[in-house]
Amino acid sequence: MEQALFSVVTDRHNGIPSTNGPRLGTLKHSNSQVDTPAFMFYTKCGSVPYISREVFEKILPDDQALFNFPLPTCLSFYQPLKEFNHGLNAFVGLEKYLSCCSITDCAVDNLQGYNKKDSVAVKTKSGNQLINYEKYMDIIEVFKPTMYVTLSISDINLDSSPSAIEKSVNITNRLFKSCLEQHHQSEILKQSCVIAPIQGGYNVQERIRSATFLSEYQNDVLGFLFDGFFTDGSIVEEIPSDLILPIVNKTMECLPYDKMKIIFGAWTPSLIIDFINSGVDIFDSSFPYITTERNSALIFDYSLKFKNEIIIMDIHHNKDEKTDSSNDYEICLTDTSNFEKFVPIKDSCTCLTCKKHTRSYIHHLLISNELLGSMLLTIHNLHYFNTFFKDIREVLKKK
Amino acid sequence: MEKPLQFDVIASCSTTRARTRNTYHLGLRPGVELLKKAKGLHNFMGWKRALLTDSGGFQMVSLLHMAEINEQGVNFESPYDGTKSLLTPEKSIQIQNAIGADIIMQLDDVVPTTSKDNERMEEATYRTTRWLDRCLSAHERPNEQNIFPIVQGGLIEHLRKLSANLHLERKVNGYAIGGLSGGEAKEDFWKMVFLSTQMLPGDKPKYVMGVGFAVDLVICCALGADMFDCVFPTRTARFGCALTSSGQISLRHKKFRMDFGPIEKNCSCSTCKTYTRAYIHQIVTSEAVSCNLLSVHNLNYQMQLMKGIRESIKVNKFPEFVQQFMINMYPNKNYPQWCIDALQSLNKTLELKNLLRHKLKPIHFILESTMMYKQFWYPLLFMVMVLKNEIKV
Repeated sequence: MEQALFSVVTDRHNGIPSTNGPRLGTLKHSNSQVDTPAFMFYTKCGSVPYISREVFEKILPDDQALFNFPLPTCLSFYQPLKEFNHGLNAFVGLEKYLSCCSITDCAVDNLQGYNKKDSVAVKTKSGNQLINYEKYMDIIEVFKPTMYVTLSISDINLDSSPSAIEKSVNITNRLFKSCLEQHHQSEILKQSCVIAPIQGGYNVQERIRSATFLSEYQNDVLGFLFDGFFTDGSIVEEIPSDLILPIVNKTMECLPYDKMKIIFGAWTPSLIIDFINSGVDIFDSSFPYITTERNSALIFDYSLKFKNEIIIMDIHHNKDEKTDSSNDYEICLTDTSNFEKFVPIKDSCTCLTCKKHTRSYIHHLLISNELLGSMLLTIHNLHYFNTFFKDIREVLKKK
Repeated sequence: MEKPLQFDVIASCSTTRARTRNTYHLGLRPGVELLKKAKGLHNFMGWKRALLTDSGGFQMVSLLHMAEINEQGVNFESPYDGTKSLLTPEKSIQIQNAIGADIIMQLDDVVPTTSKDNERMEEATYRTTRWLDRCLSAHERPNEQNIFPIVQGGLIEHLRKLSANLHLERKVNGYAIGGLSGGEAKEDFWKMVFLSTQMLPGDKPKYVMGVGFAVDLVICCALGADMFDCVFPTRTARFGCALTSSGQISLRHKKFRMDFGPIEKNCSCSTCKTYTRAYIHQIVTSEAVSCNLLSVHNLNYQMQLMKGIRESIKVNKFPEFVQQFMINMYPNKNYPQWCIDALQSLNKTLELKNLLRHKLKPIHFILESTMMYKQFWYPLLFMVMVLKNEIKV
């Protein structure tokens, strides 16, 4: 089997690639292909929360899907996987799909610190485990993902000190080199691709330093991850766009155009559009996951158009839907206003939940603490998020 | 893609014909008014097949510390807000009429099976029949919904006979055998089931309430029962247990850490086709999806078991089926004495084959229970309460 391959779908009319700007791309691996802009499906312990493989196939009947496996949630698979010997995808029942291993769980609040020299504290539910690059590469050989982020120090947020940021860049760069060396020596990892994690917090100079260093190895990597912006995955929506966008844009300028750009976290749809306009290709589904966790359903009405070389999204506000607990994108199904609403979450939605079930029923399930409630919400939210990305790709195709 | 997915999952498991709901909980939440506005439970849930609702009688046993029983009905305290409400036979039927299930249960006076108070048991037996009459006359949708009387009488032979005889005089389409599976000895259990099935008409379905283990199902079928619920397979799934032809396994056990086979070889369920014991072991205590995976398998197991029973009855090979089943379950042939006794008594009283032939239509429903819904398919607080009881015990 070959390695995964990412390529930007070049614009025929306008052949000169620009560094920043929205673009279409494809990620190909054996028989699967994921079109970008896209998102990885966030998993916990190898499964999309609440969703078995059987159910997943009903949400997404085609085989284009990429899963993100955050190491803290599946580190305990190492021993059995070593004996199993067929890799992580097969073990968690997600064969034929693409996989990406990453270091942090971007949808939860992660403790900072506990790293020791060049060992990274992986925060599992049974405590921290210090992992050095040798151990990490051993894990990756056992997991055999389609792609993986190299070991890194990324527990940086808005409050991190300049020295902590500098240290994270230094150590991450060092770990990257060590991991890469091991990668090249490994027979097993010939089929896996490397993702380089860019650190530097909210410091442009450090970001540039990190990106410049990692770009020297562009021929060795499939893509770059914009890493180290937050430690608490549940408050990512609150990070203001004017804080993060200039950083992403500046960093993007230092990166090779034709490589895949990834950012994880529950960014708002509006910021996702901004990131895509900056040239980001891949996100993850922590936003719909976090929405589900607060018993909410995505319902935002939007229209997308392509103008002045960027995507512009208009969100249509629906006054009828406004409740205390909802924001621009969602409604809260535990809100008592849904008690007697015998209508689907969203009339126009074609997901399995909306085709069959009412808000009233889902409200009842949620307040009765029924897992089916979260399952139905997950189905809707993932479907909605997936449709959002499909629409984005459509707009880019038509431009 | 036409049907809602979670119901698809059940449907693909094969022959689920009906599901069990619980009136007591549905009555409190979401409430009768909402169910009326939703045009019944079928609509509310988006479920087109059969539904069965229990009357709330069982909750008397499980929530006795909150309930006070008298001739009028049962005084419950709402677990949601502590308000008192009186559940009368009329009220129970009124709620069940609003819910609109296909099979509904009479409100019965349940005494814990192991109770030694014979006087109370006798009172409950008579009262159950009096309540049956009140239920039947309160019933507003007799052409759409079937009330099943519940045969009571605890473990006292003459009371069981009395209860069955009293119910026989009423015009109904099926019967339930209640007040069992409450911790009594298996010796007593099978005798009471047999006693009841022998007295009840052969051409009407007989539903043994609360029966769970595969062995119990098979023996009860031999004893003439037709319907069961699946409280057990779904509940046990929540505790990380899987049902297999050689018995129950707890996937929490360390020995499955390196077991890369499916829960059961040759099992047709989607869990066994995709997942290994080792993976389920990893997620069994932490991820909600593990309950889903195990419920799918356990339901499939129980439905296949029932299918096996039906098929064997059709071709007159039920005794062979029982034999094979017992050998799979007890490879060392250390059969439980009560199974041997039950099967031997069948041979004495009636030829087993005759007994089965004597059933006009062997209808074996599997009823998914409240438990299933608690965890995955439907919204009842039932589970929480059962949990409390278990902790108490």
